[in-house]
Amino acid sequence: MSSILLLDGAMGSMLLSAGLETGGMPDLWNITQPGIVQSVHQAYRDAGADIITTNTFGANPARLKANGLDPSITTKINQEAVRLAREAAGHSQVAGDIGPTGMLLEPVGPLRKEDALVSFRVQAEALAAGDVDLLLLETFFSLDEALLALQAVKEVCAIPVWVSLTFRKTRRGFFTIHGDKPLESLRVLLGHGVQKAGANCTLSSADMKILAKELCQQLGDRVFLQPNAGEPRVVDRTIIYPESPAEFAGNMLDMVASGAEAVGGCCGTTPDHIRELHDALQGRHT
Amino acid sequence: MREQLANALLSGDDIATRDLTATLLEQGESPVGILEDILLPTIRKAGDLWEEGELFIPELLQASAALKAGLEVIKPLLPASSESMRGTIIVGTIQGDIHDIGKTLVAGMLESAGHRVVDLGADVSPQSFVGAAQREAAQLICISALLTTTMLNQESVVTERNNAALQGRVGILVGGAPVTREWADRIGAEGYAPDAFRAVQEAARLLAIVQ
Repeated sequence: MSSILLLDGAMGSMLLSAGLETGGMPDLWNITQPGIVQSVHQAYRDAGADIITTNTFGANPARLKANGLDPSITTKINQEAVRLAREAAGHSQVAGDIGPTGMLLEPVGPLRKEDALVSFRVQAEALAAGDVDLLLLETFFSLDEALLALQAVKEVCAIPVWVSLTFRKTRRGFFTIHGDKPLESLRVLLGHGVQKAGANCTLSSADMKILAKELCQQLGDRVFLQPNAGEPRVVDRTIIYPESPAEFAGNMLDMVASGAEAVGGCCGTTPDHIRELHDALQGRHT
Repeated sequence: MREQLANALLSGDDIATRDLTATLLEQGESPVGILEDILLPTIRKAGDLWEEGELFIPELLQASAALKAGLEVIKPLLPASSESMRGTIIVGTIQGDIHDIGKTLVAGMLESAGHRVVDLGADVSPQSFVGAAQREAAQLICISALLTTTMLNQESVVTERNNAALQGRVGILVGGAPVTREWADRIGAEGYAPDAFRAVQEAARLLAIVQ
């Protein structure tokens, strides 16, 4: 019965705690601080994560360039990231992480579709050249951009793909900031052949629980969920994510009860959250 | 006709907004009336609809562009007295943060409200914010941040401003998804706005203080 896949938790907020300067790019640490990145992967593996995610959320040429970095380092960052995750993963799987470009696509914004495609292709090629079990396209805030990323990935490899969008809670329900509805969007993604489709980031596990019910009822085991450990608050110039491991794990267990078969964490979650969830999953039939 | 204008603005039709504004003026509506009774309430409504989950980022950006088109028609006709309430405002996203959607919306709204806006873009250093305020003789600096992590850098702009002995002469308004009133108070920023629409009201309040 315990076929629930446990994804890992946050990388960025872990690296900030380890000294990454505010506004710095976590992806660069694959090269400059590989030991720290790998220790985070190890901590998640030790906590029981079945899937370890590479530290490559922003490692696409478009985003690197927007951060004032030379986009030609894309391949090196991604390959190093896969190596670090794979070495730490043990028997766990490795997911190559691909995030959005962070820019608005034409006609709303300045990013041309062709340029976005090239950017995603370069990163996907670099990740696929390493030893990854799946590609995790996460935190997309528009379905259109997620579909572009998916198209690029499919052009360069046949590795299984998971895609998550990030939804905001409004009085009328959950939407991406571009107005995409959760159930419809995930159906479209599944229709395009992704292995799993899901929701991550933005929402606390308490809010994600509400969304999960709606999604899992219709899409069942095709859904994966990675909420934040609550809404971040600043206390004495330090960022606090308020959900404790126990509170987080309790909410995640409810999502599993709703039918989700892959769960993990996003911003503010730690190896403690993942361990608590792991133990809760182990104990749920006893 | 008034309702048509409101609908054109809300649907982000910049050409219809411009033309209907001109038509209403020809029919004898006052520029201030058009601004205060139609354009501004409608754009505030757009903000409410964003909160509701009725309108989204693409529509908001289009509505902002339509507002700009309408204001270009009436701006030259606005009485000088209300012009004196307006100021020069520096706008940008904080250093380390490349997100500029919210910031662009704020810049557009402030410009629409008649202010002279200098948009420094994203990833702006505290030195650049304060340097621009001095160079442009601005009364207000608006700092956006989308990320909790980069929000912490907003404090450095306050420090930089105070070091340049501009406190009391240049106000600071902070905003962005993770920013709260408590955070603004803690770092010594005089103003806080939870969204682009309220940034316009808050800017007006601060300009009245610093001028």
